[in-house]
Amino acid sequence: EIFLEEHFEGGWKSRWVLSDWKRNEGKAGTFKHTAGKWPGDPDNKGIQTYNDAKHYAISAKIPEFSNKNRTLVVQYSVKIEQDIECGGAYIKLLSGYVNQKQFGGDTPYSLMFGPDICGTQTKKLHVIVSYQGQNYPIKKDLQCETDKLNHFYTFILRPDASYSVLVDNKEREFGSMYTDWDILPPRKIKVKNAKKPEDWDDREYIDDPNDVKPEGFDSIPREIPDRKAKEPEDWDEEENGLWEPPKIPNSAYKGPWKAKRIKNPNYKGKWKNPWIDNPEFEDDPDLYVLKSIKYAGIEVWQVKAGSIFDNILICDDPAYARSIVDDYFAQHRESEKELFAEAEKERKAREDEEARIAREEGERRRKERDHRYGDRRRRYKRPNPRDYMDDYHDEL
Amino acid sequence: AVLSVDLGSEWVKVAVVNLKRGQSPISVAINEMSKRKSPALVAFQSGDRLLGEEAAGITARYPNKVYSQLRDMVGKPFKHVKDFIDSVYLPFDIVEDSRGAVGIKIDDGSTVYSVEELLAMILGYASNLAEFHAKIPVKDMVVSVPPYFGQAERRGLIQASQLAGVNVLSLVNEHSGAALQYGIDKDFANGSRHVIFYDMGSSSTYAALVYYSAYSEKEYGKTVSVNQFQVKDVRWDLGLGGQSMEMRLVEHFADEFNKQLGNGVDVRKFPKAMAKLKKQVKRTKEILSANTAAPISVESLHDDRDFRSTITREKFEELCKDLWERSLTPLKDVLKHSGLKIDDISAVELIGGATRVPKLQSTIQEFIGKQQLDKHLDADEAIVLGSALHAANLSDGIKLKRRLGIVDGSPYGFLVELEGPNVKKDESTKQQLVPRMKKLPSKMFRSFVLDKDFDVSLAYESEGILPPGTTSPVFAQYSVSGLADASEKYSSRNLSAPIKANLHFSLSRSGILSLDRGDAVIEITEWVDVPKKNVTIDSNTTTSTGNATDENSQENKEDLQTDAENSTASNTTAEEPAVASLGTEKKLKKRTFRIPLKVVEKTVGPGAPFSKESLAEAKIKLEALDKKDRERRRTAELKNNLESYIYATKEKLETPEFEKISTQEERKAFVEKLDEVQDWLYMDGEDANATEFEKRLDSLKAIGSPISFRSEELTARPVAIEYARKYLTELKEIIKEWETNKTWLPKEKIDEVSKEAEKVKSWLDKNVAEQEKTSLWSKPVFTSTEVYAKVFTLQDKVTKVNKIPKPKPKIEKVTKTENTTKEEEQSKSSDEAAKEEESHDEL
Repeated sequence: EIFLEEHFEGGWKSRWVLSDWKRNEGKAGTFKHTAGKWPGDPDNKGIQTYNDAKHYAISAKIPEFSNKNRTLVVQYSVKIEQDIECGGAYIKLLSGYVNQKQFGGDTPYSLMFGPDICGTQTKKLHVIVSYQGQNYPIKKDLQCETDKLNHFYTFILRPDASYSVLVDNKEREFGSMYTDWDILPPRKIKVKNAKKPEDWDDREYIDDPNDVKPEGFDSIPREIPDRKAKEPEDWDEEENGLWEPPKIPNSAYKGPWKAKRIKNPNYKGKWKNPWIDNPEFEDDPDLYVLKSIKYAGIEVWQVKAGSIFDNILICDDPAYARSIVDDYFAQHRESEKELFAEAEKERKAREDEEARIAREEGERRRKERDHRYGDRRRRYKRPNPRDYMDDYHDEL
Repeated sequence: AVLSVDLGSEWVKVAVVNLKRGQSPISVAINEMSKRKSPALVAFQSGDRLLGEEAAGITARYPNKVYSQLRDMVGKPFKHVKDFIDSVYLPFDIVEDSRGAVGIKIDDGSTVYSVEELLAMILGYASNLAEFHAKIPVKDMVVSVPPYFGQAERRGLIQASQLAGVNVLSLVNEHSGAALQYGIDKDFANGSRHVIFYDMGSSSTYAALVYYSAYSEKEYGKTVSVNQFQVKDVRWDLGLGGQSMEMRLVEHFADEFNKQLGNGVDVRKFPKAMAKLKKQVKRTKEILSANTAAPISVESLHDDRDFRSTITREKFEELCKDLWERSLTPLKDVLKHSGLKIDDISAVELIGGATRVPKLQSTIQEFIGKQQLDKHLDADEAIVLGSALHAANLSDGIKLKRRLGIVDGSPYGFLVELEGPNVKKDESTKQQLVPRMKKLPSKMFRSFVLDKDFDVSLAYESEGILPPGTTSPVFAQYSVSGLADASEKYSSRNLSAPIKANLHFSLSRSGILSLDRGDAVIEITEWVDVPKKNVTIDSNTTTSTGNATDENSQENKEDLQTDAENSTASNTTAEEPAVASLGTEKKLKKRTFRIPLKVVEKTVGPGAPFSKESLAEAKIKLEALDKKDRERRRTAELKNNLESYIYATKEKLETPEFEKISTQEERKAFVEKLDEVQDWLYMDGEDANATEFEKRLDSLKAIGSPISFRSEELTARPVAIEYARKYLTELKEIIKEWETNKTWLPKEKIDEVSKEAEKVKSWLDKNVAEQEKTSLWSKPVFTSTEVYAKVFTLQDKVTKVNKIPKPKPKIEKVTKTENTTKEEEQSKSSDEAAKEEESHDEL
C-alpha cells in the first residue's frame, strides 16, 4: 500500500502548505519548482530551496496510517546542487495535531531522516525516531553523500523492530531498534564485580598426574669428578693434603624435575563477568510503532540554498521502493552524469579563462620589468668587455 | 571567535561570532539533533554523565536522575529549592551543603555535585557546541541572565564558568540582549523612541522599558551620529511563566486520572508517572496554541493504565483565568514607574516561548490597544543573537560594522552598612550605595569617620524587591582591619581632622557589586622650623629649606618612611641650636597619610563564594568527568570504525572487481572472519574497551589491506605504466634535440641518460610481462609506486643534463670581427634560452 508518492507534478501546490514560521522575522525561505541544472529526468521536477541563509518549512497532509503490524518504508531523493557549506536536507514524518502554517523546528515529529552537512567534517545522516514523545537519534554514525548528484535515501522499519538504511539502494546500515537506539534499557547486562565460582577452573594446562618422577632421579649429581685428570707429579701430600680431581658437568644430569604438561580436562575457559537479564528491561512489542502518521514535511535551515527534494515515497513495500530507485539509475543516471560533467566543464573553462587573463596580466607586468632590465644591460654592455663576458655567463 | 549563551530554565541556546569570508558573522550553533536549542539538562546514569539531548533521552525512565531547572537553583537557599522542585514534581535527591545551598546526590548514592558544578557542565556543553560549529576553540563568552538574577546568582554563574574553563566577558541582562538585537539594524537619528520588551519564558515574566536615541560624535574630524539605547526600567513577576500554565494542566489531568484510577490512589505520588504526564502536557499546550482543542495521550501512565483525554482552548484559558490579568502587571508597573502612557511607547516586542499562547497575546493586545502586536524579533533567538553582538563588542579582535551603544542599569538598589565597636547606628553608617537602575559598570566611594576595625555588609535596598528565595537582604559581608592599628600609631600626633576610612566599591558590567579595597586617611598638623631671611646666614637657610622639601615629598609614604622621617627629625633637632642661634620661626604644616586597610570577604549563606581549595577540588571532579566522556566517545568512535569497516568490506568483496583480485577461498575465509568479529561486536563488544576495538580492526585490516591494495593497483598500475611509456617516448625526442641543438653537452652524459632510460624500459617490459603471467589474486610483481619512483629518478637526471651551460666563447682581438661575433653569439644565446625554456616546459 502506498501512503504518499510525491513527484511534485502538476497540482503539487494544492497538496503542500508553505509554513509561515520565521516569516515575520524575515527568515523564511521559499521553494522553486525545478528539475535543476543537470536533471536526470527534465520532466520530473522537484522543489528547490531558493534563498540563502533561510529556514524552510513545508508540509503535506497524507491519509492517516499506522505502521503497526506492517513494514514502514520512507524514501526520497535529494540533489544538493549547491556548495551547501552548512545546512540540512532531511525530511520529517509528523503525527497528531499540526497547524501546517505554523510547522517549524519545534513541531514534534515521529521520524526525522536524511542528510545534514556542515563544513567538510560533518556529513551526518540523521535517523531520529520518536517514542512516547521523546526523540532518540540512532547511535550509529551514518554518513551521507556530499557530491552534487541526485541520491535516494531509504529507511525501512519492520514489525520485528529491525531496520535498514539504504543510500541509492545500497544498504548502509542494518540492525535493531533494541540495540541501535537508546530507547529501552539493554536487554542483558553484565554483572559488575561478579565473583568467580570457587570450582571454576581457568587453567588451560596442568601437570600430568600420571607422569611420575623416575626412581633415582634425584640421586644423579650435577657434577662428577673428572676421571681423566691425574695427580700432578709435584703434588706434596704432606703440605697440601690428599689430591682430589677437579669436577666437570655430569652429562647424565637432567635438571630439576618437571612433570609433563597436559590439557586440563576441567578447563572452563577464561572467567568473564556473565551476562544476565536486565531487571530494568521491560519489553515493548510495539517499540517499532510510530504514532499515526498524518503529515510529511521538510523543515531545514540552509546557509547556501539550492537543494532539490523529490520522489517522496511512504509505503509498506520495500521491493516497490527499490524498483523506483533502480528505474532512476537505469534510465536517468547516465544522462544526469553527462549533464553534470558538461556543467563542470563549462565551470572549469570559465575558471580557466579567468585564470588565463590573470596570468597574462602577470606576464605583461613581468615583460615590462624585463624590458627595463634589458635597458640596463645594454648600457653596461658598451664600455667594458669584461662586463660583457659576465653578462653573457649569467644569461647562460 | 566568541560565543554567547542564552541560559534558560529549560533550554540553552548558543550563538557564535566568527568572522569568516562568505558567512554571516553571527550564527546559531546546532546540536547533534540539528536543533538550534538544547535541553539544559545534566544526568548521571550507571556511571555515565549525560548532557543535553542525551540526558533528555532518559528522562522518562529516570526522572530522578535528570537534573533540570539548574539556573533557578544557583545561589538559592536549600528550603526554597526544595519547595520549588516539589511543587513541579521534580524528584531530585537534593542535600544541603555547608553553605546552606543545594547539592544534588547522584545515582551512585554518594557523590554530590553543587549547582555551580552542574551549571559548569552545561556551560561546557554549550562551549563544545560552539567549537564544533566554528571548528576552532572558543573560550570567551557572554551569558545572558534574567533581570531578577541577584548577587548570589550572578556570582554563582561566574564561578560555574570558571569551573567550565570558559572566560565570561560579561553577564548581560536578557532584555539588553534583545534590545541590542532589536536596535542594531535601525537608525534613531531621525527620532528617538521608547520600546518595551515583554518576555515570558518558562519560569518568569518581565517587562523592560528601553529608550533608543542618537548622539553626535567626532570621528576622524567628521561629525557622525551614533545610536544608543538606555534601559530605563525593568519589572518582573517571578511566579508567572509557561510552566505556570503547564502546571494548571498537569493538576487538571492528574485529578482526572485519579478519578479513573479510583481507590483513593493519587498519581502525584509517583515521580515517573508525573514526569510522563508533564512531558505530554507540554505537547498538549503547544497544540492548543495552534488549535482550539487538543488531545492528551500517555501510554501506561501508571499501573499499566493508559490515560487519554482532550481539552479545549476555552477550558485551558479558564484553568489559567487568574494568570491573564496577572500577565499585565509587569507592563503596568513599568509604565507607572516611568510616568509614561501606552501611547508614548513605539513598540511592545514579545520574546520568550510562552508568548506564543494566543490568550496571552490577545490580553496584551487589548491592553496596548493596537491592531497587531509587534513581532519583529525572533522570540526564541533574539536574546542569544543580541548577546552575541555584545560579545563581539567586548572582544578585542572582532569589530562589527554597525554600532549601537548600550546603557543598562542594575535591576536592584544596594545599601552599605557598617558594624563594629564605636560604630553609631545612624544614617551615616547605613547609606544607599547604588540607586536602582544605576549604570553598569560603575565605581563608588564612601568615607566614614571611624578609628576601630569594623565590618561591612552589602544589602538589597528594598525588602520588597528581593531575588526569589532570598531570605535576608544582606548578600555580602567583609571585615575591614588595620584601622585600629593605624589609629593607635598616629593618635599621639597632632590630628587636624578625625581619622577616616575610605571604602572603594565597584559595580561590574555583569551587575556584581563588591567592596574592592579600603584605606585609612590620617591628617596631621605639625610645627615646622622655618629660618628667618637674613643675609648673614644664607647658607644655613638653604640647608633648612632642603630638609623641608624632603619632608614634603614624604607625605604619602608608608609606616617605614614615617620611621625614617622621625630619624630625619632627630637630625634636624640636633642641628637646631646652631640654627636657632641665628634666628628661626615656626609654621604649621599639614600632612596626609593614606594607609591601606585589609579587606577580607566573610560572606556566608547560599551565595558564599567557593574557597580556592573548593574551586580546585571541583575542577578536578569536572576534569575527571570530561576525561571519562572523551574516553567514552573514543570507544564509541572506534567501535563505529570497526563496524563500518566490516560493512564496507563485505560490500566490496561482492563486487566483480574484488572477485578478480582474490580467490573464492580467500574471500570466503575473510567473510567468515568478518562475521566472527561482527558477532563478537553484538555480544562481548557491548562493553569492550577502546583498545579491544582497535586491536580487532587492525587484525581484520591485516587480512583486508593486501586485498584492497591489489584492487587499487588494478587501476593504478596501468595508469603508471602508460605514464612511464609516454615519458620514455618523449625522452627519445629530447635526446635527439640535445644532439642537434645542444652540441656542447658531453656525449658521455647523454649516453648515461640513454642507458638509464633503456634500463628503465627493460625493467618495465620485463615486469609487465611477468605480471601478465601472474594471477591477479597474487601479490603484484611490481607496484605503481615503484614505476613512478623510477621515472622520477630518470627525470631528475634529464633535468640535470639539460641544465649544463654552454662554454664561454673566446674573445677575438680584431675589432670588426669581435663586434660581429658578439652579435651572433647574442642571437644564438637568445635562441638557446628560448629552446631551453621550451624544453623545461616540456619536462
